[in-house]
Formats: sequence, C-alpha cells, structure tokens
Amino acid sequence: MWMRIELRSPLPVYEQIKMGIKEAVLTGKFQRDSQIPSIRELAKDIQVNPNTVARAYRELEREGIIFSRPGIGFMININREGIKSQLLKDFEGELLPMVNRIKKAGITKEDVNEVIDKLWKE
Amino acid sequence: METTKEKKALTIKGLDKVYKGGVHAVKGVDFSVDEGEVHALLGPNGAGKTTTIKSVLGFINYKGDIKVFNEEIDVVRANVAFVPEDKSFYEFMSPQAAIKVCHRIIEQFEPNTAFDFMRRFNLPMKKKIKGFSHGMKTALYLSLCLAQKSSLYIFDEPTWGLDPIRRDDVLEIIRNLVIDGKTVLYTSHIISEVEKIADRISIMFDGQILFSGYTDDIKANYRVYYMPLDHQLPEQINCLSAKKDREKLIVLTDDKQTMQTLREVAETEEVVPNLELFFQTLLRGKNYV
Repeated sequence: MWMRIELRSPLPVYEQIKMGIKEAVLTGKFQRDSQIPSIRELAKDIQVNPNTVARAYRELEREGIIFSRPGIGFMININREGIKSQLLKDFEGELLPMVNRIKKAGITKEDVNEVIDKLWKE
Repeated sequence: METTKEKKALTIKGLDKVYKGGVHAVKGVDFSVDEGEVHALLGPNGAGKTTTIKSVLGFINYKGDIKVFNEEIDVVRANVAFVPEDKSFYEFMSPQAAIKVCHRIIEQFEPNTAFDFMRRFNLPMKKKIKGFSHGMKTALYLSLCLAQKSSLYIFDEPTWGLDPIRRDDVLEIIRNLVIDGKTVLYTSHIISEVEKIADRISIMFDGQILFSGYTDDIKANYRVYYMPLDHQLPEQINCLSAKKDREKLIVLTDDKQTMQTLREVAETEEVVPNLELFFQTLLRGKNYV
C-alpha cells in the first residue's frame, strides 16, 4: 500500500492523507492530471472513515493540489516542482520561529550550517 | 472546523438519570451527533454510556431533552436501528427463526440482507442462539440491525467478543454505512479502532461528558506535558487534566497561553497525544489536587 496511516504519528489522520497524496506526487506515483483514488476507495484501502478522506480532499482542493472533475473523480493539479516549492514554503513557516530564537541567542549562521550538515549525514 | 451548518441526527440536552435505588447514572449530559457522522461514546464501565443510549431509544424514563432528527424518538423510531447491550433476546430461536420474527415486527426489514451478513459472519443458521458465544451473539444482533433500513444506527459495543478479523469487518460495515449517508452512534472501549473510524468522540466518566469533539482536532489542538514531580503548577491553570504519577507531573491542555508557560519549565517534555494517551490522561487526571 502506497499510503499508510500511523495512529502514533503526531499528525491527525486527515493531515497524513494530505501528506500521502503530496508525497505520491513527489515520488512520481502521480503526475499532473493523474486520477487519484475515489474517497470510497481510499477509505477502504487505508481503513479510515470516508468523512476523513473527504476532509483531506476538500483541503487539497482548496490548496490547488487536486481538482474534481464531475463524473470522473479527483485529479492531480500540480507537478513535482510545484509540490516541492509548496513544501519549502511550509518549512519556511516552521523554521521562522526557530531562526528567530537562534538569532536572539547570538548563534551564527555558520554554527547552524554545521549542525545541519551533521544532521543531514545521519 | 466545519463552516457549513450540519443537520443534527441527535441532540441531547441536560440528560439526567437516577435509577430506583438511588444510582445516579447520568448527571446532566449534553452532546449532539451530526447527520452522516460516526460518533463514538467512550468511557470506562459504569460511566453511563449504556444508560445514555437506553434514554435515546426511549427504553427508560429520564430527565432532560432528547431529539432524534428533531423529533421525539417515538415519531422516528422506524428510522433508528440499534444493537442493544443486552444480547439475550432471541435466546430460544435459531438465527433463521430470528430473521422471520424481525421480518414480521420490524418495518423496512430486509431478510436477505440479514442472511447475507450472517453468512459473512459464519453463523450456524439452524442452531439455537442460546449456545452461541459472545462474539456470535454480537454478530447475530449486528446482522439483524444492519438488515433494517434506517438513517441512524446505534450500536452498544458492536465489536464485543469478536476476533480481530471480524472486528475489522464491523469497522468496514460502519465505513460503508457512512458512504451511504447514514449516521452512526456507537459505544466502545477499544480506543485504537475508534481513532480510525470516528469523526467525533464523546468521553464519559461518572455520568458526565469530560470531552466532546472532533477526533482529528485532538492532535491539532491538544498537548500533553511531562514535568518533574516537584514542579509547582500555578494556582490557576487552564487545562483539561493534571495528574501526578510515580515519576512525572502530567498536564493535558489546549490553551495556547498555558502551553507557552509549560514549555518554559525546566526538563519539560511536550507530546502530541494520540487518542489513547488523550483518553488515559483525561480520565486519570480527574483526581489531581
């Protein structure tokens, strides 16, 4: 199964579904205009409540990542690069408070780079 | 979270029940179930779950206001199917005979659907129900309940006594009910299965609702903090629960200000709770002084 729901994950189930679709675009499983599973199919495959899948799809649609074509189903509306830049933007938002804290503590960018280099290799 | 106003399948306001002999089983309970949602009523034994469900079905007298699809239960009874907690009604019949009886007394009952489900659950159709295991009785009642065409399905412990494979079957059945636009209210004490299937949960303890809300919002909004035992919490702390165990002081909160304060405490660990941790922390934190 290409999507797995982890109840131990700190992400709510609908966020995990959103992330799963985005990752499938990143890995090339889905491309722009690929059809993705219906709400009913995905709910059955990953054994979750169809309302939860519907919520994830609704949000993905609002974010412009998928669109629904009446009578056909949901299609991918974005390419790999698009997802990548969106994810980067998400990370930017998450990093901002941390970067501010680091600056306030008087740590330099070079110091941070060293830490990132070390973590990257792990 | 939802902006559209959902229609209510069930609203309960100020439900209160004292049994003869003085047991105060339900103490002013409020919650509602939207149409098309799966709502799980959770809580330890004796929390008042079954009393609440019996009240909804109009099987016992109670104080308070209960509306099913905005009506009194008796007006819409044909539209409500249920699996009771006490599964001993058809004891002296075979499943086959039970289907016949249901066909005669229940409106909109589909005998073939009942047969299909019983076959799926591998029930012996001609044996007396009296000799059935707990799991088989659960499967029998579920089959009869699901064969009734209804808008609201109420299950008291629908996976009681079932093996893990049959339990998955039941969860799939509930998912299919949702796809067909039905509403489901059910009680359970198996938390992990609830986390995947329930849109909303209400947690009961000692006759009261401790929490009612969307399952997905718990991880989004709530945090659990583990702190050293000797840490002094402020007099006024905005939290859902606070308790001490042998090693840690544990606080559950959704208040942003409180989260800020607790993060500053030395050696604090912040955890995003899954439903199991949320449930445990909430119930055990009732006794903090």
